[in-house]
Amino acid sequence: MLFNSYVFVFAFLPIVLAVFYLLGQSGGRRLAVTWLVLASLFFYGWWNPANLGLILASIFFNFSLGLMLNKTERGTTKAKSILAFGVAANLVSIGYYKYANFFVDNANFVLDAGWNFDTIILPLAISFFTFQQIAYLVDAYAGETSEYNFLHYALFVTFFPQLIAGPIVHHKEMLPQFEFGNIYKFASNRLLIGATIFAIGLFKKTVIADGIAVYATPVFFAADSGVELTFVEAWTGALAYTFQLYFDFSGYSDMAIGLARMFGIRLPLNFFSPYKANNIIDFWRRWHMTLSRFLRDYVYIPLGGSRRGPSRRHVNLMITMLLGGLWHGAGWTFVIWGALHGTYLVINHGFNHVRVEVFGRPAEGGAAGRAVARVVTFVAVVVGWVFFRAETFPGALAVLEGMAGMNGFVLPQQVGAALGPIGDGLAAMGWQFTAEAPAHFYGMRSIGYLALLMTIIWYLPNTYEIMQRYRPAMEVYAHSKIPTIAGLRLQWRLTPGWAAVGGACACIAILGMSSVSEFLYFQF
Amino acid sequence: MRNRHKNLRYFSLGFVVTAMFVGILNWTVDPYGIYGVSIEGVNTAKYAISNHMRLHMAVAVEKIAPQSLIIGTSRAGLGLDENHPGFTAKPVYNLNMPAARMYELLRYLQHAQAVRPLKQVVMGLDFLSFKAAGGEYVGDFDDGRLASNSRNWAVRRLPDLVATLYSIDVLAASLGTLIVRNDTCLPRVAPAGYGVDTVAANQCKVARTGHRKMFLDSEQEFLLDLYAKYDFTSRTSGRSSFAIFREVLRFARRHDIDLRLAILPVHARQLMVIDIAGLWPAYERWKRTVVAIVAEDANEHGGNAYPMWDFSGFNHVSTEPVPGPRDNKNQMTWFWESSHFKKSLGNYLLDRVLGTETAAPRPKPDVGVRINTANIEERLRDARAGKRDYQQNNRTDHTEIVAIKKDIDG
Repeated sequence: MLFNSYVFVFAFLPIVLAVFYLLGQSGGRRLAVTWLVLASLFFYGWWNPANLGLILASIFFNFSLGLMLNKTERGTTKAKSILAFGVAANLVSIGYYKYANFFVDNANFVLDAGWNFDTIILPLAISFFTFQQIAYLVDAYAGETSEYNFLHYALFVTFFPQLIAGPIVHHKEMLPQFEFGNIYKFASNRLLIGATIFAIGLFKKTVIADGIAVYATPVFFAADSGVELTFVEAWTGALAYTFQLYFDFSGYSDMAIGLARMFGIRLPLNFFSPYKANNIIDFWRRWHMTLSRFLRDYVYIPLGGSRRGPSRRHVNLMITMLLGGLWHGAGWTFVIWGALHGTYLVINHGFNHVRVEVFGRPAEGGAAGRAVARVVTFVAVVVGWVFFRAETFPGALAVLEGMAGMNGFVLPQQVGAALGPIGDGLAAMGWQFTAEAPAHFYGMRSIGYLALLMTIIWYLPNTYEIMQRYRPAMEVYAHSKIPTIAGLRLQWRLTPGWAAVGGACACIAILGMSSVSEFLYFQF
Repeated sequence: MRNRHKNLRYFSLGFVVTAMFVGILNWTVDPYGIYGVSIEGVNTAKYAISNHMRLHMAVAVEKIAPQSLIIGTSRAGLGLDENHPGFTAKPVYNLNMPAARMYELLRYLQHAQAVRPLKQVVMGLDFLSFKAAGGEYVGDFDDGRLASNSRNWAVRRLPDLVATLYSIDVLAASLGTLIVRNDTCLPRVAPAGYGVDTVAANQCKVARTGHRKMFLDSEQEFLLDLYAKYDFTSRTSGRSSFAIFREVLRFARRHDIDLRLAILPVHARQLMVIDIAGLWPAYERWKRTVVAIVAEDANEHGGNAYPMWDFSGFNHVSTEPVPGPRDNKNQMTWFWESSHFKKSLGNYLLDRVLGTETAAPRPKPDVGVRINTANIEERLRDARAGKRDYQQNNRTDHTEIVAIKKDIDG
């Protein structure tokens, strides 16, 4: 079931909420939690009931190992073996489902082995629930878990708002919340705040992300099919995808956070205006924050982090980012994307180091410097997304060639005429204005729309700033609190007016879920 | 208690008021022309209707309840006039859908019959309608909305009603319709009408780019997409379009419909496109099979065949010279581009099919021939010869189309 489906919004969610609060109010907390677990499993099984076996087995397995680890003395061979076995079993499971085909395909290519392997359908959300439970095992080994109740543990893994696409929650931030009696009592303001955050997320997904996708999809399709793209076409596709991905993913995280809030649960923050980042290190503190946290705590730091000198640190960063890339999908373009971001991070750390050497401290940079830094960071991220989105490596290169102007700068004649002196200036710089528009030039309106989205992304407050009064999400990093903007005018409040705005936003977002099928025909 | 939930009630209020506003706006502006609200200069220029013709046509048939139909692809829509005096049973409705496949034509015929029994039907036959490889229908077709599918109004109309009042696309289309209200170059719906008029839109195209560019654009679309992977049989259903055509005849017999069939005229360049696409054998097979099916049906009904005309082929009309590149002054008499004929030719076609004499100017009588099993082979031979001659005498036209094909094949 998708959050942006009628069956979810109008049937599943209201029923689950109503029954949860009825059970909770009448004192049956255990029943209420059981209900949420069952509802979450139903939500999960909606796509493919066959996957229920896998997630249930995974829960029983990891919970049992956690119990054993709790009872075993830390550091002993027995504890180490249990942990190693648990982590290995989880990795084998995800490796089989997610990476077996990738591995066999590549082995066939390299060894010309001709192995035949049926395509394995990836069970939904396996990357998310596997990672959450590996973290749990590692912490159980370190003695950082309590004796959790099984129902609560099952809910921690399956809780439907975060099950499919994160945030990747940590047991320490979730399980204590289930103990808190207050969440079982209905509170209308909590529901309202949750519904408003959900509405903002749904709006981002159905209205903005789905709307901009029409500019991205055909450009990447063309590039993957070997079509040469001109400058404007390539940038249109790359930027459209950059925005689509952001509004889609951050919208989904908002929805998750809003849904959990309706049940009185706070989820960790997952996106915090990543494209406002002034450097790549900052970008990764704002983009898919719970994944960054997981990779830092369970990959980068165990590898040694920055403790073994700068060169080892760079190697660790690269390994972490390569694994991060592979986590997103079993394909070489994802690996390249990870490598690219690893390289960016290494450069960023090197640059910071040089600045400290030269200036004695990291230079702050003026407004202009920050603006340049933001643009450079953004372009670096866009280049990364090209690899992330393209189906093939040559497809990604084709888009990048177009963006670099290697296939020329072409606009239709009408646009040249409409631009007046600017058009003349561009012509002088070598731009061509042709009678026939390039196939993937979608008119000045598309450029205007992209500019509008860029403005929204860079200059408007994000969901958490808008909702800042009501502590919408948990901070992911203890040291970096969600900054509050004093005097923010676009700040949602518990007033009738703002409540009505939330309702209107929900309505428009739901309108975005349906479309009337159409047939595009050249004659018109 | 009431006060405690005050803000939640305002949230609901915001939701409901927005929903009502959007619903009323979409209903009033009616961008797909299905609610019958059209005010000249406000929302008659319904540009968004073009991509939703199947929805529009299904609703229009219910509103108009025609006794006579013109049915076919956009060729019928742009070239045949429902006000032609040859129709005796009124109202007449021009039921045309872009690139309509045979299955769709059958289903819409059944739909119209379920709304009101039909008396007279002129069916325009188009080679494209028999393509079933990509499926038996395209784009916005939906069986569920047809009266022949369900007698229950709610089952039939409610999904469209909800989607066309409550979706963001429709909201955008409504706002767009209000913005372009004075643009005379868009498909139009007459006030209180349910027909779609695209003549003015085509006239604007001629004025803007000239005929030749329109020819080239259309030919490219056919070579690239419409005629690509041509097959008479659907891969999904395994059914052949000929079987569906047979079903059309059976349906007409069962309901005593006066059915007249016409292979619609195309410009000679369209026949070149078919040839260059490698579809000439399929094209001949199409004509032969259609003629055979009509004959088979006649044999089952005492030799009384549904009349069928062939307006395609090479003749002084179809070989009408195309104005040169960038010539946007000279107007063609009979065609918009390769695939679409003008009403001037359509009126003559309806004259022949309906037995009237109203068209002016009138082409010579070799345009449009009654075909049957007796003369089909001769027709096909003539066409082959005509094709050779046209190719020889119109080198530039031929080379132009070959160039498009080469460009596509890379």
